[in-house]
Amino acid sequence: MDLPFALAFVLLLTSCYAIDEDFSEELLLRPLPDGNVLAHFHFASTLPPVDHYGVHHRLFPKAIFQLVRKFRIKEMELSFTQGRWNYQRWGVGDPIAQLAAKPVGVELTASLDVPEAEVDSTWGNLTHALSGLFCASINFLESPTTFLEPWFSWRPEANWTGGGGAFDAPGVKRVVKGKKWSKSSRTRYGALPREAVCTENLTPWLKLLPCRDKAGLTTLLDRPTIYSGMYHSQRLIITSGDFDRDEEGTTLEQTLTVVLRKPAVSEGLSSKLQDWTLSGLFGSKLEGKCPLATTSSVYLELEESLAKHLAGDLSKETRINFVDNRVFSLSSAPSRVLASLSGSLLLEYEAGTHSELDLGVTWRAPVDWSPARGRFYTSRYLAGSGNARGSIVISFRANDGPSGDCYSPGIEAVEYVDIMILQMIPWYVRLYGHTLQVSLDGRNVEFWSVVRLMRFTPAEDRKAPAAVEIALRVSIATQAVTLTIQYDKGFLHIDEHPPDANRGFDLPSAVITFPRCRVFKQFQSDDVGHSHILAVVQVVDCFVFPSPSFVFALLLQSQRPMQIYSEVSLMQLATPDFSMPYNVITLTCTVLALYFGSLLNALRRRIGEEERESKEGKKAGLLSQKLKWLRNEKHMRVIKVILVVIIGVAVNHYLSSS
Amino acid sequence: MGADGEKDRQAPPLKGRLLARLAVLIVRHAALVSFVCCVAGIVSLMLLPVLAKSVYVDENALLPGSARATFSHYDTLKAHDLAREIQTLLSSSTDPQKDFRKWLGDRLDALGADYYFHRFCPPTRSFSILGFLSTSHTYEAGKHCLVDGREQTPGVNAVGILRAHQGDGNEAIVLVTPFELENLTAENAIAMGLSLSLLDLLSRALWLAKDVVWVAADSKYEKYTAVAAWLKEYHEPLVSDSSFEGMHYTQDGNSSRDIFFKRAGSITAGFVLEFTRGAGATKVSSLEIHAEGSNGQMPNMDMISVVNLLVSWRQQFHLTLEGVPRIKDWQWLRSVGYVFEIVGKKAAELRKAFLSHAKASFTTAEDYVNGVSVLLRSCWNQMLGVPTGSHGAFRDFQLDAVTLEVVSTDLEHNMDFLTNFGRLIEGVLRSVNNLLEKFHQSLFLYIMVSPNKFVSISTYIIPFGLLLSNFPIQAAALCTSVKATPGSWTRAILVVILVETWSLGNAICPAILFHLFSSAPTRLAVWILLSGLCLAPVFCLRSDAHASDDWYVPLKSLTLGLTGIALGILSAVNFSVALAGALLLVPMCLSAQPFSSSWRALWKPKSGVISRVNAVLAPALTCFPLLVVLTILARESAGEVGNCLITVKNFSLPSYVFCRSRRTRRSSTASKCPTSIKPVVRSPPAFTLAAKRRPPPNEDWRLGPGMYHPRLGPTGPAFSLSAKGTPNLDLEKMWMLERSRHPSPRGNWTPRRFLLSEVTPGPGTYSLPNKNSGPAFTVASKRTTKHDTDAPGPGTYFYSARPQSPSFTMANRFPPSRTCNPGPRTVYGDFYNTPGPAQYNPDRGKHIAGRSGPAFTMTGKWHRGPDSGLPGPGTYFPPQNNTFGQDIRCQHGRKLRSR
Repeated sequence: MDLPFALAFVLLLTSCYAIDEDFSEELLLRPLPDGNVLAHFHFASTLPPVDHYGVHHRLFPKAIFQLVRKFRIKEMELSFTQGRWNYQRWGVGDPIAQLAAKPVGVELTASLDVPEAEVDSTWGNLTHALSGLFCASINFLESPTTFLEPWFSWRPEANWTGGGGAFDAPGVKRVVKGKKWSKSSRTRYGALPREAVCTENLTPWLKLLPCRDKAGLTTLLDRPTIYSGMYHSQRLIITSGDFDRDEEGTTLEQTLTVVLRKPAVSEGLSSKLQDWTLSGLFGSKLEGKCPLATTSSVYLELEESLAKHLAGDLSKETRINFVDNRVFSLSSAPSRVLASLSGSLLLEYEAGTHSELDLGVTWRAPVDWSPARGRFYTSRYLAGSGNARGSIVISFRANDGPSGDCYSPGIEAVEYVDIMILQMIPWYVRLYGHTLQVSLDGRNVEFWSVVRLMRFTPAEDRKAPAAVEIALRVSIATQAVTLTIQYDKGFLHIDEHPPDANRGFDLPSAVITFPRCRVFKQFQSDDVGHSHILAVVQVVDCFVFPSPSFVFALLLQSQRPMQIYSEVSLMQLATPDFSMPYNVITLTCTVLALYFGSLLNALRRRIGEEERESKEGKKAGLLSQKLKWLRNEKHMRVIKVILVVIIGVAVNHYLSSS
Repeated sequence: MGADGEKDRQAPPLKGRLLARLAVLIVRHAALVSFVCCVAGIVSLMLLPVLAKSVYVDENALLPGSARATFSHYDTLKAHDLAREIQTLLSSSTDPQKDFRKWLGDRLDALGADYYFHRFCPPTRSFSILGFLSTSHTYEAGKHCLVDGREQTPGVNAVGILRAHQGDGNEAIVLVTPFELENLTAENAIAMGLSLSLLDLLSRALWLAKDVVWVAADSKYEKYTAVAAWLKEYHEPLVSDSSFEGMHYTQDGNSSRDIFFKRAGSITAGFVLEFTRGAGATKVSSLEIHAEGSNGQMPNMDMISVVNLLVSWRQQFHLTLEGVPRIKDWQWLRSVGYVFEIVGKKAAELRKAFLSHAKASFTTAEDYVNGVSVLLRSCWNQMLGVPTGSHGAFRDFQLDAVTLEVVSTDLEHNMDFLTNFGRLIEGVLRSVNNLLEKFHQSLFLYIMVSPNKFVSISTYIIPFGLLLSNFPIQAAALCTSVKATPGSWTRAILVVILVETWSLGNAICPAILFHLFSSAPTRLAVWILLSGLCLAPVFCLRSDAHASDDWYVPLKSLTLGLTGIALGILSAVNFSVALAGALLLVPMCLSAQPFSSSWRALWKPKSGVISRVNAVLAPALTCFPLLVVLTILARESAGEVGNCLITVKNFSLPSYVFCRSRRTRRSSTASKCPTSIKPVVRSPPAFTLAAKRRPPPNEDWRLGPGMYHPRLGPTGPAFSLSAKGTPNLDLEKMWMLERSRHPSPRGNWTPRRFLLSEVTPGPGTYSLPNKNSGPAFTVASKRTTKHDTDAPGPGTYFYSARPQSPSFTMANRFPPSRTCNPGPRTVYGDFYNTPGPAQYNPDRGKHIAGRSGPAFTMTGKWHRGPDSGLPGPGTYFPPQNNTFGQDIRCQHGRKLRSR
């Protein structure tokens, strides 16, 4: 999260309201163009600055407070995600997508206010604490092979928008070396792409809420429903002020994003949209609010391209009838409507005022709208086959059609796009730096003509992952950018393989940031005339006096650089045959036996003796000697017994095997 | 020979140890032993269909048939509708290509699938002798393709990717439906309809955990080419200028920026669905499985066994494997089958007499003949090395795939059959979807005998081993038979090296010469001419000593040894080729005599049978390679559609065909020479194959991507260029250094490879924090466990669990971290109330797989002993004093550390 904003946010909240704890709950629903429904729960607790450690709090979870104090967390974001965010169908460049889209598995980013030397150890302890708190194996992030120190992707102090940042130096190739950068960051980033997410992670998360799942919006969280959706992402964001001065207090935001499948199976392929209601989606209606919450509201968001369809219904006299219009009809009337500068609408429902809210949309006409799309379709994949080598490819392909050009404040004519890539690569993937190549529109170009900044940290075996951070600047007319780097696959020790080693190894997502793209929605109070819907909708002033009832709206207004995550890739390494140890043991034993047997034989035997023996043996042949030995009755009896035993064992074996 | 050996050894044989004596015995009776080995080998070869085992599903996670298939008649109707729609669209349209693409795009879009069109050109065909060293074909598509010198439109694959709802997109299953738009048959249309209908079903399936990629492969040029082009692009993306333009292709034919090549994780398995019209009036619809990939590689056997299990479980299909039909008329084979049947019956009766509950199973003559037919076909396919379908393209990328070919006469009216087929595919997909790991459990080296019987490598290696054992025995026998005069061995070695070198040169020559000729017949002629040239050294061999053993025996012994080794190596690469080679070479090599003597033997009444047979056999056997080529050409003229045909036509014979023919050609050199007196040189068949895999050491020492040298001499790791601050790594100096270190009078020293980055990032690019990250193969692990939290947070006990505990489990395969309820693949709702991947029903599994779950316990039974009052293992005393507690803690700590 953007630090300046967060600070301002906390500041505003604390200054507007008396020094008291505060809790708000909000739910945003958004019909998606492919017929699915996005539900985004947002719970925020704030804690004013306190002077003692370990006080009792009224609303704020003590566990989190202790965590913050113990590890001096300035900012932390933890996400549990299952499924992929479909950037093409659900949107890229809008604030909700920005909030919702997270990589598969667990992702943890933390900025710690501890001395530089202690950051890594504090991070390790933090992962253990979180692991216990959320019943997840976050403690695996403690190992230095799983996390890294981002240099410019997460630096709050780096100035992306202005013209003065190091990134902006025109035509200068910069490689960040060792400690050359101004000061080291205390931010750490780690991801566990394989972590499975389920209810055992949700329950502790719910426990942090003052009403748990007993009242308010959380009553909608029917476990089977939210886990059978197409996407599920649960997040925890902690922001706290300066620990030394302690003026700002602490904020805890908990969000849960689910994309629910179309309620009904469509038979006709023509209309993708399906009608839905809250009770249809979640299995229950919304009854009342959490009594402890200051705000409890439900929003229905209509995207720009969808809201445009409503423009036809507009006239000067009558406002848009949201309950019943040409495109859809709603089951109940919103209490307020907010409009953003770009034209999207936010219909607000107060959960407390309705005794029973069952918000629903019934589509009247087949509307078709497109989600907000970024400039590029980004994908990362592994090229090559086999267990020896391959290459990692990160490709950007320009999207056709309305590519929601992100807003870049302060820059008039945008002629180029900045892209920053942060890629963590496990040590067993041995990158070859000299193979790093950039191609624009299918042509290989000179590396430094495109790359503005690069930091390449080679991996250390079993100690640290390779970290590649690259900042590109390409012309706005570019159609395709492809980055390629080749690697060899390393061999792992037999006990370094996970139990299902033949599944492969997950490569964490690449984090791709568009620093000049600021994703936010600006809600406007007065009719500036950008959109004619604005002229008629009732807009409440939310910017000047940010009342707590607009926490969410405020959040949407925060400027943050657009960040997207690439796919998680699966890499097959050369896996040993795990039954091999047995074979090896058998083989080794045989070889050893043969070796020692023959060695002893060679050492013990004397040639002269052998010759003498053979001379003696000449008198009577071997066979006749043996026969003589057999004729002895005692020997015969022993042999008979042995034979009977052998036959018995053989018969027994035959019977049992069949 | 044996007799000679005995005469030579006047002294009584040394009484050594048993093994040595045995070896001496074998060598002394080499002729008898090798005869017995030959016979035993051939008999056991014929026994293979009898010894075949039943197929079984090895991977537990597959759980075939554990869920009810939901594909219904409704979906079949939909498939029929779609097929009809395609046909009407094509018949009514003026621009069928464009309209069809638009239609398909709309369909896939409606299913919620990502789609794109992949344009490709068939690779320019060139007969490259060393093709198997560089097998990269380019399928790059521009505006037009140049096919056989003419400009044609490129082929366009339509690809739809169905993203699994809750999957993480790591893995994908590929479904391939070949189609040909120009002359779309009814079967083809139905195949498309069925695939689309299946996709529709899958788009609603909640159990899907892997993405499904559907490739409608444009088999305009060839089925194989289309799939291979797509797979090639999938795995080795082209980033060249021209390909960038041609890569995407929209519904309306114009290039659009929006629809470009997309991917879906690593491919787990591929299934090719083909529908063909059956010949004849029989209305029986059957399903054929094709599995042989290029160079005789087979997919994982579980792929076949899952299909077979689902088919046999539901009893709805007649599942077949391709066989050699003519064999069924061979009466002698049938009578052999009868003999085996009778023997098998007797054995079964005997067994039943002893064990009342034993099943009396034996192979009937009919089964035997069918088994031989399928086995031969499979071997033949493996031997040719040409894939039997487009699934072969998958195998080239180490992916498992099979072709399921439906052969039917009236699919339009056979509703039930189609529904069952849909169910089968759904079941198979669901099984593969259940997989948590890539296919690794089951066999890769096997030959199918019937859809439910296979011969594994442990069985089929026996006859081969028996045949192969002749070579060392005979070589040893020859070795000991004559007292070598000084220099005879040296001469033998020289001769062998000479012939080998000459043959190798001849083998490489065509690759160079073919640049001069363009027309196919000329090339064939050149090829044959050069092959004939292989014989030249044999003609040139001087015959100063007239058929003396001194000259001929060391040579033959050496060649036999080399041939044996080469065949052994070849058996690891392609077993069928090795087997055929052994069958061919064993009689040839063993019966080889100086030609003059064998020529005389034909007329002399006194001469032995072997010599006579040899004289007749040898020239006949030499024709083998020619026969192969002729057979393939004959097949082509007969109009059979197959991959090899066109490849042969265009002289890009797959490497193994070449290898094999070259082998036989060269091996035949010896016996073919009519004028030479000592035609004894048997060049080992695959001897050069192994050597050629290595790139020539003196070539191409330039720095490529993979050329990191672990030891870089005095300067340390070469990629710490910035740290060293030496922008120009003094290459010249190092070369000189090397040169001075290894002085060579002739200067043909091999340069060591240095790492020098010529490309970006240049000097000064990297910041290497630690130079310890050196060579890439330090495997030992250093586990420094530092854990300095002073707050024992929750979850601390997890800490040591991961890195120190052993990583392999002997338990059943359950998803390790996905079993929590409700897991990502858990199913809700009534309609889909079928077990998911992790739901395991032991009874059901027993019923299905024919095997119960693991029934063994490795721990002993715990008997409660007499109460002696001493603290047992589970007894717990609360710490009375501090020392006790500390003790325990210490021990625990030590234990951990020591692990």
